[in-house]
Amino acid sequence: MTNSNHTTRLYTVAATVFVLFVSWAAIAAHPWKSAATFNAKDARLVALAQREQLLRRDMVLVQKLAASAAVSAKASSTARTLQSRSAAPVAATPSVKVVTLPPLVITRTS
Amino acid sequence: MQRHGFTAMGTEIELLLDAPATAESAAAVTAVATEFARLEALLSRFRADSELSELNRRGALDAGPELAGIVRLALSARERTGGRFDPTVHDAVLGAGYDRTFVELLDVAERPVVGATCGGGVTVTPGGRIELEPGFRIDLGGIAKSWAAERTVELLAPLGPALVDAGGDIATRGRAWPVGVATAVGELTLLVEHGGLATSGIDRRHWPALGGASHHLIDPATGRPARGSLRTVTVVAADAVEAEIHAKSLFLTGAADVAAAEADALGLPAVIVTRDGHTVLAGGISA
Repeated sequence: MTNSNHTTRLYTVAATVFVLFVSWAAIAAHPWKSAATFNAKDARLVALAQREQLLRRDMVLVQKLAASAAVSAKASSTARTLQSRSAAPVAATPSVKVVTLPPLVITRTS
Repeated sequence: MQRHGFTAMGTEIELLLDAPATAESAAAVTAVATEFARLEALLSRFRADSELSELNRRGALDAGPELAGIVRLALSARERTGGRFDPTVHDAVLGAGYDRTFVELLDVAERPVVGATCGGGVTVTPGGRIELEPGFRIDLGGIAKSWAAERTVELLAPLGPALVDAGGDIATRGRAWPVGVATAVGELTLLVEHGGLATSGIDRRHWPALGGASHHLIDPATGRPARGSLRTVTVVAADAVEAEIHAKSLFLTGAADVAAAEADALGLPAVIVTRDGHTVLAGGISA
């Protein structure tokens, strides 16, 4: 066997490998699919987007409910404060009358 | 009726005890005087060695139960009165010229009034540690006297109906007490069945100052002696501390109609005397 035969065989193998690679690349590119099919979204992505929208809507609802609860709590707190301010002294304050008795003690500015 | 008097906390203290004079009642009266002296030693801003002065110097202190308790009361009062009652008026009181006892003030030359910021931060931990916002100090003047009156009347009450008058802050127990209130045209007697009574005003603790007279009732909103049309406000409440807080708060409204409306809303019997000589009864006082 000569050196020339060896070289020819080597080139042949290399050319075969190259042709096989190009063929695989061409097939993997799915050139027979239409552009519409190629651009169609994966069903899982669509479901994920829908799920995200639902979660966003729930988040808005929860925020509204929380804000409403905070307003209610603040209103209750204010009512309690006002009640404690006004009702407590009324309940505990003694009745006072102006009388004509001589005073036993005279209050001064403290 | 026993009547005893002594001086403490920079004012005259008067005790009335409707009981026979016995060794027991004498001991109770002595105990009241001793307690006033002890509380003054803790709470006076005029005494450099008081616990309050130490707090004001250091800005933070692990305080005893009395000081911590009164500061808590004062902070609660500040919240309830929308800041009109404020324990952090110390520097404004000094700026008004009240930097020594009232008796000593009468011999001092006129000085200008200098305002100071009020409404400083104060925290009291459950363990009694008090911390002041830098730049603020505390004055417990009125509330300390009323608190002492309430505390000491308890020492007399087991012996019979009792009344303690700490310079206008009055605590009562055991019976209805006729208490005289100065008005614009004379004197009115209120029959106080129980609870406390206090008067805030500028008819007594005032002194000459450059630019006009100065007094001890500081408006925390301005940091200067309060202006307005009122001369005195007397309030009857569940106890002397509440009466003191509300008398000062109503006085700082500055106008008789506003003070009367607030007294009515709170259900607090009040006698409001204006500088121009009118007397207004409010809060359900019946003639």
